[in-house]
Amino acid sequence: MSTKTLTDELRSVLLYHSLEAPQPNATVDRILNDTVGSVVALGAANPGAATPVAGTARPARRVSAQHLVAASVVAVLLLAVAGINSARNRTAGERAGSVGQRQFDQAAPASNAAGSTEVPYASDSSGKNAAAARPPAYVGRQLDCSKIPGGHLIVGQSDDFTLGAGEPGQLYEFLCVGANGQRSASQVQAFRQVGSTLVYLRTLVDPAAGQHVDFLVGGIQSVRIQASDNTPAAGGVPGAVVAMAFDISDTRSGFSTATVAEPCQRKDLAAAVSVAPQALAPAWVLALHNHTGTACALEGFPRVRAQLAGRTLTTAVQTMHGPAGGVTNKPVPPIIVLSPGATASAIIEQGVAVGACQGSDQLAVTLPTGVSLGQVPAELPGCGLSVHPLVGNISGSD
Amino acid sequence: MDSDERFTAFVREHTQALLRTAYLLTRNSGEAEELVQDTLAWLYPRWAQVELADHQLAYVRKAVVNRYLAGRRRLSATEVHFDADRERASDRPVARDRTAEVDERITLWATLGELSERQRAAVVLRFFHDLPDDEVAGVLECRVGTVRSLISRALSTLRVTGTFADDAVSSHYLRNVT
Repeated sequence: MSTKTLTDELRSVLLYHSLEAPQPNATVDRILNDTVGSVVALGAANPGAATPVAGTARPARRVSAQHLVAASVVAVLLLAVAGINSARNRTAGERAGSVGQRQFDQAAPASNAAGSTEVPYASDSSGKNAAAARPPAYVGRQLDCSKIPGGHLIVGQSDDFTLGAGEPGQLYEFLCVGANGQRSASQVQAFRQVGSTLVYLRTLVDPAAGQHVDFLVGGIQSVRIQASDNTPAAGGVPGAVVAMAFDISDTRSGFSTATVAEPCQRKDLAAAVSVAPQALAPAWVLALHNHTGTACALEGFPRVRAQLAGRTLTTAVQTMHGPAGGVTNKPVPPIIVLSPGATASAIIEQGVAVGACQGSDQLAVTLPTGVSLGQVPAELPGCGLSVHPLVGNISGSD
Repeated sequence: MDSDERFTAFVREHTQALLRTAYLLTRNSGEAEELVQDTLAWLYPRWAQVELADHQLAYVRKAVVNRYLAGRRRLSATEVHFDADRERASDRPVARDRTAEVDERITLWATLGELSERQRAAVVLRFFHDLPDDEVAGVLECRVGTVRSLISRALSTLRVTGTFADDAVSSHYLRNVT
């Protein structure tokens, strides 16, 4: 029996999609340009106002059909550009424009968690993280890095957002990482920027939720976070990627979530193993192709066992990278939303110190979620293998 | 502070909220921007009248909704109407392997787009802005009974998108289907 009501679901869906509304800066400037006229002077008087987005200027007057088409195409392009994926790729130059006006608390980052805080890792959005060169002290005690071998606290993703009265705010992801890609759940905290100081506001993602942040995007009175779900006890689907929208304003506080992709299942994927071209060590690429019409999610290490006549010769050791490649730009495996027709891959390589051993005739492959993909024909050495995390391309390396 | 400064302050403070309402109505970013832009440009020379209202944001929101409904009526058949969001919603493959909850939310949003403009406006005002029926009626310039009928028909359409627990609010409207 369902426990949710139609009106609750309706409110949740409306709130979630309302946050897809375009950001107001360009519209504000166009309105003021067409009415009171001097947008530059007004903008200068209001440091909270952003400059118009290049390419979005549109006349206020009625548009013809051709103009409507053109404007709509631009709007669609802007939607694509301003959407989730582009948020991951915001340019350093764009970011630098807003960074220049910031004055963070210069105090060295501190931590209540075990271990030390490091500089943000360079994720997909290296420019974004440049903004977080002086992250705040970690506020909270939920992250216990001592539970992870070699664990220490780092600052992950970061972005800025605007509070209701136009005040600037900052978002930071904190997490513990271990020596070999092990990690804790993420904690995302929002801070109000008061002068040159960041004041803790609230926690948006709690470690108890077991989520790994893929990326976060701040807006005006809103924040969107995409994360993988890793704690079934919290009600999520293990391995699914969800998008969360937070409404952070003076008059309304809300939260909504929607699933971006369910975890990949055996029926979704076709697996193949091939020799890694131009690798610096004996290496192979395990490719997982999504042959369905629906995106699915992957994150972490595949479990691979070299087998001969159904007998396991060796189980590959899971390492972040090796001479042949792997994940070198991040301390944790990436979160992959595998689009229909796209391929993810992982490198399997043989250690240089291993001598000759019996060869395999197939590889048993298990996804990070524990879902078995069965056996894939593959002639690999039956000893000394290591496997690196899945990445969202065909090369096996990030 | 003169009238221009007050207008400017209003625009800066409330355009975000108006865009959200406009987006839920039009389901298209470009149309939402244009709707808000045109409405405020139209109200600018009449701003003194806006300032007489008890609640200026409500006054402007009403203008946005009415402009949306009037624009839909005026929309010429010869105009090319490029609505990417609706295309995406209707073209989106039904993900049978996803959870029922996700399916329901996707379907609920898609079905909202299939409501009539007046039904959708009533739903947005009632369930997004939490306006009581009489205030929704004031915005839509119709009788309270008409609002209840619009909402009840909308909920009746939306209810088939999933399995929902009973709740007093929807039951109240669904009893009033005429």
